[in-house]
Amino acid sequence: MDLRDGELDSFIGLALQPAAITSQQKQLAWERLHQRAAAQSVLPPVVAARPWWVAVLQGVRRSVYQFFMEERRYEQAQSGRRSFEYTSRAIDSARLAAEVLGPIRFSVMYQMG
Amino acid sequence: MSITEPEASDAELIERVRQDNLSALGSLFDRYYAQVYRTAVAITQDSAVAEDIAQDCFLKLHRYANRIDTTLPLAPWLYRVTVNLSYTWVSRQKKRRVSLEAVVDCLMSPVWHSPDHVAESNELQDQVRQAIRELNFNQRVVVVLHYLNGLSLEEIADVLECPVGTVKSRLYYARESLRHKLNTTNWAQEVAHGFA
Repeated sequence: MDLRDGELDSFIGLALQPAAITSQQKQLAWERLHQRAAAQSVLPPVVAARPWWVAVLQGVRRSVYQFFMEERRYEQAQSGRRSFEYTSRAIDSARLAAEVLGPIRFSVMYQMG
Repeated sequence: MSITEPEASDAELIERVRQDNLSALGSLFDRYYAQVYRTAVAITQDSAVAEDIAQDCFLKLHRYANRIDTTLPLAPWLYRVTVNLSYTWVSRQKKRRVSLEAVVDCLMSPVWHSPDHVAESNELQDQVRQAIRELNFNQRVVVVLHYLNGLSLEEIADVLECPVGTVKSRLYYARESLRHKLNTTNWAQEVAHGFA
């Protein structure tokens, strides 16, 4: 017969009872630690320079977030003169708005309703 | 022991440790020594090694105080260091191929023996401890953090810096392994029938 979950938990809990610690043991441990800590120095804080690829990743992440999540950008594109709206038949609640701001700038906004 | 301000928060004490204040280190030692030591004992199952690990853990707390994020709770950081130091020790032990005598010594170690328990329960505890000892390191750590330290799956994932699903999986397989091992012993079956 298999041990039931409750029984198994009880057995494990019983076996992993906390080891006893005497006050003398703790005192000796602290004295030893105090001595060793006094002999070493605290390291200075690390000023981490952000690698270039982290900046790129964060930029991509921010752009993706703005593209999909930021309502203001969608509405701005949708209300623009040179914009058009596309509504998906497959997904009723999805809307897409594209804005052409110039020869080299093209913005597409997608929104899930 | 230097216990100056028991009401000070961990962050405040770490801030003082950064100024090389050993009294503040003493307060943190007083607050967390038992948890660190017991975790190390449960993982390594060697009280002398656990003492060394606890020492090294608090030495790291002192040495790297400036690099600890005080906006986060300290306990997970201490558990993480304890687990890492234990892992280093266990790895070295494997390389040394501990002799059978050493294992027997470890089994007979008085660190596990609590005066509050009757002799009948010792056999049961020893069997379960043996089964826990035979788990692989990752499973043993999850079992110890969950059952000894009472950490949730999310908290263990935070300590081990791995996904919650991984912790859940390790705990599941550890429990199944323990269940299987305990089922194969006659006494366990007898106890199980006794409970039923």
